Amino acid sequence: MNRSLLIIIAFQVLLGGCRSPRGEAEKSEQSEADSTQYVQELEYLLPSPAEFFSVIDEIGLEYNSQLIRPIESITSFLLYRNQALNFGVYLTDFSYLLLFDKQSEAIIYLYQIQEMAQLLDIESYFDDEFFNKLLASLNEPDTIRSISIEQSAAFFNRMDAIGNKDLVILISSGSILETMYIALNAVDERRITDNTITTIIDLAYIFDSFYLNYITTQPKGDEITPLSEDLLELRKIFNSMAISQVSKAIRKDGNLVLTSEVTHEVNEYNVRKMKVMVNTIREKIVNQAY
Amino acid sequence: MKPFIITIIALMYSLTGYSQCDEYYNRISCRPSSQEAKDMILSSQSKSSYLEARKTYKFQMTLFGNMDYRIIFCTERKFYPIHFVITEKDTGIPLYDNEMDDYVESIGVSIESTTIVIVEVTLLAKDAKFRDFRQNRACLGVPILYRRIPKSGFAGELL
Repeated sequence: MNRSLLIIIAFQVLLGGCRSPRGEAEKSEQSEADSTQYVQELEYLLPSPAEFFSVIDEIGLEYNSQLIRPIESITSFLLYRNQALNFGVYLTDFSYLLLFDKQSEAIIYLYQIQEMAQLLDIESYFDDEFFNKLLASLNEPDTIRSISIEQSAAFFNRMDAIGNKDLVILISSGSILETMYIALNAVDERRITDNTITTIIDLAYIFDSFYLNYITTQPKGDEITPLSEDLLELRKIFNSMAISQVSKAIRKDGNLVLTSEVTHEVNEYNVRKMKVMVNTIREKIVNQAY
Repeated sequence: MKPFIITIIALMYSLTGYSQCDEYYNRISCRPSSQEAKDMILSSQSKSSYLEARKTYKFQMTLFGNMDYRIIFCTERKFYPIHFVITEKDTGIPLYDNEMDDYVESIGVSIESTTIVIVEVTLLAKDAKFRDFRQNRACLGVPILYRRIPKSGFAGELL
């Protein structure tokens, strides 16, 4: 771990201690409520590609082997940022293969992920237990997808705990762009249906959370600027869709039911623009142009 | 020399806390009953954090349309009750506050259209007394489970 990061964590712990004086628990409930304060910035939780693919099947996603990134020798990924971005791409492709029960192909991608994890020095986040569980469940597609989603949560929680936010955001960038690229392939901008709009709105929300996380993290280095600029362009396209909603919660048998009124300006023009921009960014990632 | 030692101790303490927490959401004590979790799978948005009692932690999550979710909050024994509030991100409209349900630790939510929500969580630790800052922190686990809304889901005829 970065030494300065360790020092910052230690410092924050010490400062946290200063903010929490001895005997605080003995104060009245009123003063307790008054002392409640925000401990940190808002954190953004992102669904994994496997989770996203599992909820958008209504758009008629079909298997197309041409969509995924071909396996390449890990020695061809020279720069750390391109290793991280393409690692994210392969994670998504792995989920895509699992979605269509392409287990034997998925295993090849899994080995690629394992090798690239070594390259990025994060192999401990994909431990043998995970690989063994996957291999043991090859004939059970639902189980293998569920393991994959659970592993995604474990991976990002562990990475967060260690604090390598730059690496996490680069992996997430590769992963989300590949997810959008695959999902948008099933979208025909000349025929905007209700399902198309739902998928575009889902992508807009996921991208929004990702992008806010990206700018909060502020990956360091001038070399990241072209990627940041392209992502900003994509954000502007999403903003042009003017998606907004007002939700209402209804209680039913102890649970909540959220209903929403959604307004938007999703149309052929901005969907086409979005597809072009996603394809451009994805191509740059795959060709290691960033 | 003394500040340096304190820094190292604090550092070791913080790292221990993080490593203990990173899969806290996966503990058996955090899992819902089999009835609550029927046909549901764990979402990749499930989260663990290492928190200070009585301070509010906020996270943003995506709840997809046509899905049932079960969101569960768990922590170490003396840090209960847990207070959580779910707010719609776009409008800031509060959708649920568990204070009204005596700080219940789990809520089922059916989603009609994909919604971004902000969840604010506070470990109230009402009966706890802390001697110093090393004692007022605990792991929070937020396992999130989901399934496609069945015809007889939470939402029933409303959706």
